[in-house]
Amino acid sequence: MSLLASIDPRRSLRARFAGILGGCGLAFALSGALLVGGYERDQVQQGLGQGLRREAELLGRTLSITLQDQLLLVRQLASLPVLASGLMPAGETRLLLEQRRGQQPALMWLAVTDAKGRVRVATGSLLEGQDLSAEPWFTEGLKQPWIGERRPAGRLAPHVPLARDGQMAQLIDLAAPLVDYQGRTVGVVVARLAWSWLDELHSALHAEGHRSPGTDSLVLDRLGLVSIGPAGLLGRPLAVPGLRRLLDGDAPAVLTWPDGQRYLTALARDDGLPGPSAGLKVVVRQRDEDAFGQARQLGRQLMAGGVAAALVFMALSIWLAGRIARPVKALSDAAERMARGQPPRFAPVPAQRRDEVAGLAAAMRTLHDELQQRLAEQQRSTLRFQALFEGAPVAIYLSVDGQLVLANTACLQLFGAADLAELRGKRTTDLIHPEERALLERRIQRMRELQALNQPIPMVEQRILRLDGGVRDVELTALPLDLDGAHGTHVALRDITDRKRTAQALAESEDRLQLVLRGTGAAVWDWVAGSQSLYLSPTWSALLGLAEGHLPAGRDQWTARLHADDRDRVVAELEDLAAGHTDRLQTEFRVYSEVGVERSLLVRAFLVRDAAGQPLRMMGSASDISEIREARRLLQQREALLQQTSRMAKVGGWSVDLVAQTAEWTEEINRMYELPSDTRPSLAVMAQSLGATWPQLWGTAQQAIDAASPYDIETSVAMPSGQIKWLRVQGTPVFEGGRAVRLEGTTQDVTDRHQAEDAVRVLNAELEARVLARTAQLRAANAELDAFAYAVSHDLRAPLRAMSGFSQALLEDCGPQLDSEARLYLDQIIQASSRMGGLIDGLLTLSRSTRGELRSDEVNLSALALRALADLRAADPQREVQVDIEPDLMVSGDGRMLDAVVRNLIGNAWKYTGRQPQAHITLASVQREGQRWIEVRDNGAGFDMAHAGRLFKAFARLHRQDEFAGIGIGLATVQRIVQRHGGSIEAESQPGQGAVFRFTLPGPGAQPVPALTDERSSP
Amino acid sequence: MSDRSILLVEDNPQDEMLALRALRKANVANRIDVVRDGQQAVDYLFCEGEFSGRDGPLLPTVVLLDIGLPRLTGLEVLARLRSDARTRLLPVVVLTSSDEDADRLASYEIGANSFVRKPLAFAEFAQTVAGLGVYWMATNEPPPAR
Repeated sequence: MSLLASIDPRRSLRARFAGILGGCGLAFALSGALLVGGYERDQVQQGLGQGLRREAELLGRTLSITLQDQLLLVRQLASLPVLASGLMPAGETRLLLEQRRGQQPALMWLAVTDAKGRVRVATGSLLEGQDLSAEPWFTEGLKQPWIGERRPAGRLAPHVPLARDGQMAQLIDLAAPLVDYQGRTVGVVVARLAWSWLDELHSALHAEGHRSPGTDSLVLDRLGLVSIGPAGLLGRPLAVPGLRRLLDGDAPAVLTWPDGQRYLTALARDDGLPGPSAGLKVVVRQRDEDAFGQARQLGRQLMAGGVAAALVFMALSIWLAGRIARPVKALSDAAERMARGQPPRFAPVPAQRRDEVAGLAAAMRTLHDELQQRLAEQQRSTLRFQALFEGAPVAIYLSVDGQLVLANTACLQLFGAADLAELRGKRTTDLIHPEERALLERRIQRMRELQALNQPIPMVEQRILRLDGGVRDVELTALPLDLDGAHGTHVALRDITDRKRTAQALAESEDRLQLVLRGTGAAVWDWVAGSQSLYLSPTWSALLGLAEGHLPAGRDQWTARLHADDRDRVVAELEDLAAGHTDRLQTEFRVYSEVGVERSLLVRAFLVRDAAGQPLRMMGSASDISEIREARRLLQQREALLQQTSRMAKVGGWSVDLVAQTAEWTEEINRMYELPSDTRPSLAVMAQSLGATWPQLWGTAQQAIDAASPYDIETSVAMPSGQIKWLRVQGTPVFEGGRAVRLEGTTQDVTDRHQAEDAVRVLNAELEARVLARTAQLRAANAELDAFAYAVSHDLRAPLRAMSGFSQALLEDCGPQLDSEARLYLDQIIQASSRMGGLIDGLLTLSRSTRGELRSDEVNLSALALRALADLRAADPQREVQVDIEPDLMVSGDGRMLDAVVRNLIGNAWKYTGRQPQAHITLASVQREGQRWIEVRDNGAGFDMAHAGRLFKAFARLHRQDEFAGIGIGLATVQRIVQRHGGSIEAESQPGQGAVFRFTLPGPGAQPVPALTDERSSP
Repeated sequence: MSDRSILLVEDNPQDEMLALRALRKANVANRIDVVRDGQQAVDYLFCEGEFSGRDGPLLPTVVLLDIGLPRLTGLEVLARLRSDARTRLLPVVVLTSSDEDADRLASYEIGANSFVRKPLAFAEFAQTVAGLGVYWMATNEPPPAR
């Protein structure tokens, strides 16, 4: 047991014991200590209190008696008749008083008053003649002897020395009535005593040495004011809570004084004494610690002692508890060990011990022994059962609520589990092949039903899933068991996979055979020699053209079916085989089907002999070879045709066996190579025939083999006759298993063709040359044209400029000198020059439009139109023309040329609407016949369609110069450009109704038509 | 400014006359020298050949150079000018009737400062020449003399 456990009362008997005992002891000790302590304390308090009280009483009494003594003196004086009679002269009285005073130095003043309170005689003649009737000692002293209280000196002050503390002296009054012989009170005799005398007396009485440590005393006067005590409290009432109770007579108690300290306080009055009292109260107090110090110490000592005792007691109890608990613990350990299955160790119990612990030990021992026995029995039983279970030849498992709980070795093997752990817990549904899981429920249901009806449960076949995913077929029986309410099932399984497989294979084999027979149309027979058993496959029916299932019955019916010409032969052959003269037979013959159709059959049969060589069994097959025969016939026909054809086409076929190094070829080859028709084909002959060409041909063939691809070459071969023939050889390598085994091909006599080709080639070359020459000429011509156009434009323009320039200059410089006619002529010259310039420009543009490379850009016709219109407007701002340009008309072509086109067309539209007040020009695209046409439309003068043919001709004009100025080459240029782009242009108009010019151009992204200067000549 | 001069290289006498007139009418009063072909232009500028020992300014402020010239073509003249340190920075304006892009490109490539097409119409021609005269004589600052 760990330390913690050993001291935890909940887990250790010993600890509990110890705890309880120790706890009790401790509690007992503590309470005892407290009680005793408390009691002691009370006792001490009482004792001390009493002591203090006695002290106080003593003090009080002493003071009182002292005072009474003093009063006696005064009474004695008062009783002097001479004094009372009043006959004594004052001086003598005074002397007497002085005498008395001298006896008591504390007496400050002694006086005699009359009945009215007037001082008759006094010591030192102080206050003589004064009326002191108001004084309390007078009023009281008149009645009876009286002791007063502490009072300041008052009127006597000047004659009385100051008190020790510098204050006015305090005096106490003693008075007695003066009574004459007749008993009449004639006055009072008063003595005033210095209080300090009392104080000293008190001090002397209560000297340090005579009192208990820490005590001091106070004296309170009749009025309750402190007359003797610590300076701070003098003359004041004592404000100590609880003092009142002491005054009332309670026992001395511990009170808290104004200085904050606690004092054991006792109070005593002096009124227990006979005679007049001063009414003094004496308080004696002792500091708490001084008073109870000892008692407290005792208390603590007791406590300590008690605790020590308790601890000792606890230790003792622990030991005791241990002693008791040990045997119990030993038993508990043993029990624990038993529970864990370990052999318990019982502690030896002394024989004489008969108590409860011993009894328990004995009982436990017996219990353990019995348990051991039972366990052993059970194990034996389990082993037997196990052996039975495991040894069973059949796979058995037990499932509860659908989960496998137990399986024998055979079962583990069946499911492919290494040990039970792999199978245990698996759901039985998981062990069944997925396809059959659904059935399981129903099977279980059925099983229960049958069991309920007490009917035998049949064996079922099932497909199971092994742990490794394998599938096996089993035969199983299942028995439901009820195990304490849970649904258990006892299942025995037998692996029938192999059996099933075999059966299946057999069935498949049978099916296959039948299918094969049916598929091939073959029929088989199987005849065991010397018996009547003859197996005929069902396909005989089809073969003989009979209905399904019908067969000829009897030998005669069979032979009747044979063709007359073949009958005898076939019968003889079969009999030969059956007799064992031969082992094999293969024969063909004709039969007649049911409907009389002739069919050809091929029969193959063989004989199985027994050990002695005698015929044992004859098996054979027959198949319909009618089609084959027909095919054969056709083949022969075709063969003949092929021969003829190849002869005519001069094509021969050949094949070379690369492995056997042999060759084959057709008849034609022989003819081709001028070989005798009976030549046997061989590689040698081939090589010889090809002669010089042979190596080349063989090389080509080799390459083709390496490349695994056919070849096709033409080569010339010298014939024996001397003729050179051109042969086209085509060959293909044939591979088998990755190896070239054959070379097959044809050879064709292409001599004729070659000759023809040669002729053609020569012709082509001539033509090519001619074309090149032509093209060169053309190019040269074009270049000349270029130069011409260029030269024309420049060289013509320069003189033109001079002409117009000088005319202009003439006009400017000499204008004033010329007359109007001269100026007119000059104007004409200028105009003419200008026109010529325009002509030249037009010509230049026209020429340019036919040559030069046509660029292929994306051209925005709309933008070009807008620019053209802007220029036109700039030149003629007054004209108001409504314009509709379709935005972003994109085409593909040469930007510069198309600009010319647009400018021209728009310019024309602008020009010819010049007379139209509401001129309207549009540029738009329309779809016509699947093509995009771009139209420039105006509502101007229009033209007569009759003349439209001339529209696009250069220099032709359809309007007079005075109607519309112009040169007339614009549209020719436009047409040329459009056509060069591969488009076409047309015009439409009515006189006075405006005109439409529409053209097509390739859309953006199209390729241009090649220009004139390109390779090929244009048509 | 009055010591600025123009060299006009022009083989066509009529064009020459018209050009001079245009400049005159534009109040371009500077000295204008005229040569008739490419070789003359080179000789003039380098003071060689038939012009060795000529008087007048060493180099004109600007050369108006036609392309189509006898003997040496305008482009050849330009090339000669640009290859000689003396005339490398000399402002040259190619003034020609050619509208071939090839000519224009060649001119700039060889180092012409400006390329102007001679307008075909006389009025524009006069205006253009006058404008050139004014610009090159008055507005443009020639390179500093070394």
